[in-house]
Formats: sequence, structure tokens, C-alpha cells
Amino acid sequence: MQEQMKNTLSVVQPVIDQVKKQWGPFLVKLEWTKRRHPMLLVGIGILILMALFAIFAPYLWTIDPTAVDPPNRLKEPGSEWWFGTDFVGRDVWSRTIYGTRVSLAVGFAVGALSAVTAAFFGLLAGYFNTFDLIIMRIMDAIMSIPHILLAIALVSMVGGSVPIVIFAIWFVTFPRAVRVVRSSVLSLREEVYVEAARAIGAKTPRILWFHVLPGTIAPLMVTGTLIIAGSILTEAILSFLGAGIDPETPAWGSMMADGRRTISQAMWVVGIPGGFLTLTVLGINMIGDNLRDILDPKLSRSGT
Amino acid sequence: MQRYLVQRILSSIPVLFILAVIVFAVLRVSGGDPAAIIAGKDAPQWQIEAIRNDLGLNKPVYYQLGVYLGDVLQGDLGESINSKKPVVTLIKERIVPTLSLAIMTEILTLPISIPLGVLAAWKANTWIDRGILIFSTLGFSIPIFFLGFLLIKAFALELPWFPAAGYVPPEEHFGNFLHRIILPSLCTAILFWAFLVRMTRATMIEVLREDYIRTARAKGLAEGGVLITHALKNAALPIATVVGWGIAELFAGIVVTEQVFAIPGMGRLIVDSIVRRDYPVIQGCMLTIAVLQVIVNLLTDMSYALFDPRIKY
Repeated sequence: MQEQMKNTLSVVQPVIDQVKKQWGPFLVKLEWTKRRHPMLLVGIGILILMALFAIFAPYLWTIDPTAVDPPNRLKEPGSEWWFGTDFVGRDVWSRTIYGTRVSLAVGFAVGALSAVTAAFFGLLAGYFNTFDLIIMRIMDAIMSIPHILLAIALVSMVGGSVPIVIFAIWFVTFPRAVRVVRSSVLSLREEVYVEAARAIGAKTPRILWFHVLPGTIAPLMVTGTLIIAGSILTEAILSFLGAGIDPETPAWGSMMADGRRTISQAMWVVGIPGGFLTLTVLGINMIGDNLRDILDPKLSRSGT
Repeated sequence: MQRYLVQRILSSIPVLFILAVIVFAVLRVSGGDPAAIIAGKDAPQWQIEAIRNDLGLNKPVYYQLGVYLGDVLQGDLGESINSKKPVVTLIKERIVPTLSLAIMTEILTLPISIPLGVLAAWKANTWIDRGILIFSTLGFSIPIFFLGFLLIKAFALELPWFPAAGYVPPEEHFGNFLHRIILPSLCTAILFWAFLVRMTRATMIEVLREDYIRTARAKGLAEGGVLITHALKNAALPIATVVGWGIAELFAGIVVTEQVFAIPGMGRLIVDSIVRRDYPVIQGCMLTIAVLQVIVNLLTDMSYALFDPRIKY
């Protein structure tokens, strides 16, 4: 009996060792993060939940989010309609779950697009004085227009589809990221290792790619995360003002615009998408804040 | 001082010029024909052509831009395609509600957020600090129109303390004006509040680590004196910068607030004009906001001299 157990153990032991070896550092890191930055894990948890909603929307006991059912309008949340129905009888649960798709798609697309373009223009502006003057004047001009107004103008002129909304929000947000990259390039280019690279005859593109760009990744990640959160809010505001993606597609902002007329008797039509929206943005902001603390120890002391 | 002023004003001209060009380009290139909209759905082609000719839309874009910039320099922002009123008049009518909302927002923001930021910095890394930070993160995660709905639901419908919407000009009845503007200002203020608390906290933490703070404490100065005369005064510069730079964002917030609370301000004027493709009005409003931003930035820089006697212009 004992012999048998020993045998089993000796078979299992290498597997356990292997797991410990492979995942050990990760588990230690997770433990450390849980202790030092609990909010980071909360934020990631919220984001994963929302991503699951977006991916598995059709299987989460949802019905057609655009199906109207006037006899059953403004039903209170209950067993049949989990989150109630709106003023034409559409199911709020289904619309909220499908709404996750638009928000996350816009948020992450704008975040990625802004990060790439900001890295490009920020490097140019920060490293070459001639580009600096031109690029930063244009960025200043874009930033002096309230970003929501410019985005509405762009969308309503061209028409509301998801790519147009993504383009419009990218256009009004990426200047902020350019400024972040530029200011870190300004200090990076004075670093001794950059000077050393120049001294041994490295070509400018090589210096930019291997020596300057890596230094901008950390601030860019933080800014990118905050841009994702901001873009999700901006998309909701555009949909709310009726200048977003077409109102047929379920989006949190347009749900709330529809719900405003019934706010006195049916708060849930506004409250539920609003709650989801706030929770998502809050989660992403928490990730951004804690990433900044982790990636930039100097800033974490001041704790902005 | 005078020389500095002139320099600053001259240096803002290129920014305004590029801005005018960008706004012009965005509106013209992105399509949507105002002539077709004025003429209506089933208008014959010749009628649309006539309107285009009337408005000068048939000329090349760079020619239109030149004419427009020339007019702007003479203080003429053109006339609305829809109402035929001069854009300057329209803006004059709508700017008072927007400015009063902006000023009320600042009045509600500054006296709350700066002391809270100072408190958070002073009690850094305690539960007070964490609590303030969590609330401020929540403050700029919540969409402004959702916050507006919550405020209307709570303080206008459930507790009938304030009217749910509308606007009364201050010269008509000042009490009613205040009564109606408080809820929308509060709505915009919470966003700003969140932003400013963090900024104040960050700068104060930085300042509190300086040697002269240690000296002030060592000579036995009361903690209140250390915080206010020594720390806050030195933190005032970056804080003032943030307040100034926030004006464009404040306007963005006000556009939404005006929509939620049905206030006839510039934000609604712009949104309505965008829907109707009323180019001259959109351009005029955006330029006005940009000029306001430039003025506020200038005032911000002037205020530095007030906080820091070493700065002279």
C-alpha cells in the first residue's frame, strides 16, 4: 500500500516540480501584486468579466437586442426580464450585454491606434527640433478644441459607423499621447547611452528604434490605458448626443439617451447601462493608475 | 510686462491660425452639402446649384478659406446658413448661460477640491488618502450625463429641491437663476473635482518632501502654517496651470451638461449647428472657444507672478 503511494508520488513529483518551475515566478509575482496593488487585480478582473460578456454575448441567455415588444414595455426587473424592458419593450439585459461589444471595441482600437501613432510622432517631435515646431503646433491646435465637439463634428459629417467613430475619437485624443512620448524622448536623447551609441557611429533610425523607443514604452502603456478608459466614455457621450454609431446597434450611450424620457418611472433603463459603463471605465482606470505606480517608481512616490 | 504680453499674444496667433485651418478643412473635406440641406430633400439640381453659388461654395476651397480668414480678421464671423443671423449675434446670445455655468462650476470646484487634495497629501498613504483617491477615480470614471441623470433623479424627482431642467437669465430673476444653475454646475464640478484633487495631492506630496518644509517644522511652526504658507503657496503654480488648461475640457463637459439639463448655451448651439451642417456657426463657435482658451492661458501665466514673487514679466 505504502509502496504503491510512494510509486504514485514518484510519478507525480516531477510534474509538480515542473509546474512550480514554470509557474513559480508568476505565482510569486501574483502574490506580490495582490499585496501591493490589490486594485490592479480588481481592475483586471472587471475587464476580463466585460470581455467575456462581449465575446459570449449570444450565449448569455440573451434575446435579439433590437427586438421590440410594445405590450411588454417598461417592465420592472424581475425573473422574466432580468434588467427590465425599455419604452418599446426591448430587453435591457440583452442590450446591455451586447453593448459591451461596441464599448470595448472602440476603447481598445483607439488605445492601440493612439499608442502607435503617438510613438511615431512623439519620436519625430522629441528627437528632431525641426519636426518639433510643426508637429507640436498642430497638436496644440487640436487640443485647444474641446475634444467632444471635434469628435461630434467629424462623426456627423461622415456618418456614424464604428470605424468612423474610432477614427474621430483617435483624432481628438492622440495629441495628448504625443505630448507624453515627446517629453520622455526629450530627456532620453540626452542620456549617456544614447550619446555612446551616437559616438560609435550608430545610424539615427537604429538609435531611435533600439535606444530611445524602449524608454517610451512604460509611459506610453500608462497613457494608452487611460486613453482606453477615456475613449469608452467619449463613445458613450457621442452615442448619447446622437452623433455616435447608428442607433440600431445596441450601445450604452444610446440606451441611456432612449431612457432619459422615462427616467421618472423607469430608472433602470438608464441606471443599468450607466452602471456597466461606470464599472468598466473604473476598472480600466484602476489598471492604469496601478500600472503607473509599478512601471514608474519615481512617479509612484508622488502617487499621482 | 507689456513686452511679455505682446510676445504672448503674437505667439498665440499661429496656433489660432492652424486651428482655423483645421476646423475649416475638417468641415469642408468631410462632405455633407449644406446647400442640399437648405434646399430640402426633393429640390431640383439647379436650385441647389443656385444656393451653392449664393454661398460661394463653388469657389475652390483655398479661396473660400482665404475669404473666411480675411473676414475673421475684421471681426466678421459670417452669417448662419439656417437663421440668416450674423454668427457674432448668435454667439453673444448663447455665451452667457455657458459662461455662468463655467464660473459656477469653478466656484463649486476650487474651495472643495484644493483642501481635499491638501488633506490627502498631508495624510498620504493612510485610509483618508485612499478614500479620497478612490472617490476621485470614481469621479472621472462616471460618464457626465449619467451623473446628470442621477442628480436629476435624486434632487429633482425624489427630493423636489431643484428644478429638473431649464435656464433663467440672471438679469431676469437672480434667485431663480441660481436655483436652476446649481444642479448642472454640480454635475460638471464633480468631474473637475476628481481631476483637481489628484493634481493638488501629487504636487503637495512633492513639495512636502522639500528641505524648507523640514526647516519650518523644525523651528516649531504649527502644522497648519506649514501646510498653507509654506507648502500650498509653492504648490500653487502647477495647480493654477491645471485649472487653466482644463478650460477646453470644461467646455466639453458643459456641452453634455447643457444637453442633459436643457440649457440654451453655446454647447447646444454647436451640437444643433453640427446636425444642420451650419458651417459658419460651427467655425465661429470653435474659434471663440479657442480664443477663450488662449486668454485663460495668458491669465494663468500672469497669475504665476502673484504666487511666486521671483517671477516677473
